[in-house]
Amino acid sequence: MTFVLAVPETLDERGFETLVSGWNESQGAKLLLDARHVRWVSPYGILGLLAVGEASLERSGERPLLQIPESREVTSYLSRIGFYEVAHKIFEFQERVRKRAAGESDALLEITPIESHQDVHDVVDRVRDRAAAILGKRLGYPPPAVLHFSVILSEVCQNIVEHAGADGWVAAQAYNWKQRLGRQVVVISVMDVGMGFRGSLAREHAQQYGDRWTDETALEAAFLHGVSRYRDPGRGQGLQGIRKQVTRWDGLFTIRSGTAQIAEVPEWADKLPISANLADFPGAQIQIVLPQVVPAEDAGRSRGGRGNG
Amino acid sequence: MGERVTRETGESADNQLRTSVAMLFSNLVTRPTGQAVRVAIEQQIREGPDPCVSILDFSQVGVIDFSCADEIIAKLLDKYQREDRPSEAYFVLQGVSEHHREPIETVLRRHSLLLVAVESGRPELWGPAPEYLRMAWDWLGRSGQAVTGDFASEQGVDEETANSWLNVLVDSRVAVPEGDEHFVSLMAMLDRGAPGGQPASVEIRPFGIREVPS
Repeated sequence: MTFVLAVPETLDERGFETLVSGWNESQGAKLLLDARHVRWVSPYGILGLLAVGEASLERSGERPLLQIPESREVTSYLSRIGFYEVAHKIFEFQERVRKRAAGESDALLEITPIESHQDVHDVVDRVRDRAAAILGKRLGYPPPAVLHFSVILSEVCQNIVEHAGADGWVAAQAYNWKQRLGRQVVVISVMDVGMGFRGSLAREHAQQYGDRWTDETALEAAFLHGVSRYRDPGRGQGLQGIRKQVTRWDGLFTIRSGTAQIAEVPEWADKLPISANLADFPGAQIQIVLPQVVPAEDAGRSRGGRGNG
Repeated sequence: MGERVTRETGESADNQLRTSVAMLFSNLVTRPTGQAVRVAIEQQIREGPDPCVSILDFSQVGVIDFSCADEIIAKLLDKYQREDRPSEAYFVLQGVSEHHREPIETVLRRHSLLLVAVESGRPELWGPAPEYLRMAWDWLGRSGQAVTGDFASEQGVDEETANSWLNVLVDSRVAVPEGDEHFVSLMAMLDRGAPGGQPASVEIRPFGIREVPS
């Protein structure tokens, strides 16, 4: 039996939650992801689609089917950001899809599989020039910001290699978030469908929490208190360092794992610091949003449309 | 590339090992990278004079992340300040920039370690030191070297207190003892300078050190 799951028109964080709910409903049946009506995608949404596909493949042992978006703008963007190269390893396609895009990508970082520490090195080496241009010209960050940005990328990708017990992906894109914020932003997304924070920390820490050991408490332990699965006292500093830097830039930092999400929330973001009882999903899904620096009086002006062009 | 600057003076630590920590990777990210760099530094120390001041040159380092800072800096300092340390080694960071500071300071705080770092030619004490210890380190830095009695009378504290403060600096490997009540700053050690003659160059590779013609 095939379970048809419609991919939301707007495939962002909220769209991903819809996908995860549907994935839970599918209960291991072969999945057909109908993305024909997708009109807009964010890095988080795109990686989320890959993650749902991977989770479905791992659960059922069958590659899910993917019907690609009808919007040329969206498919072109997906090609440029390297979606189809990765998706071919996860999904079956009903139509012929060209893996490589004809045009040059304007992404800060195309979808990149993270499977080893070498991949982390490659990401840091590759992103530097583009990050310098985008952070400086579009976000108005000072020149050393690119180095702090590289540290964030490095630590957030290492989280997969060190803790997930599975491979994952990273992508980053600069946008004009006119509607939501009235500013340019850089969005970094990192996802895996591995053991998640609760699974990673369980052996060392579950016992002391007893019945209170949940996805929520595991996220709090790692995110707020720097707890790690390793006994080495030097572990657990990466997430703390990211929180500090993202806060300094007035950014948003969220981690979803299992049934919970925790966040470092700036004033401009409409989000709870912690959410529980979400639809269950394996691994960890991380998003960092870094906003453009603007004088306080300019923030919130001119809200308009958005596009994947 | 690294170079060994050796001045044999008995038990003094004015033997210097100079190591470019960007020798293997210009971006110091990930724990395995940090381990590789640390192992190379440890090997250089093991094969060099004892005691010594190991100068870690950060001038070519682009990014250093928290994991790598932990593997290189925290684990090196921890190893060589323990009582069972393999040899008498002291560390000075040279050529550091503002963006190196946060990851390194973070791991120093986490492990309660101190370190001398030279930024724009100016030595600073990095790590979580209480005010009295910073003052003692500053004073020793200005004086270059001191005996306990001078420090005590200068600061208006008794000799026992002065001695304990200076010994905390020694235990943290940010000052060098020369005899019972004589202390030398790490920068003064470096200022004693290179010996005459041609220093041997040392190239550090992932799997070892080899001497190369100067």
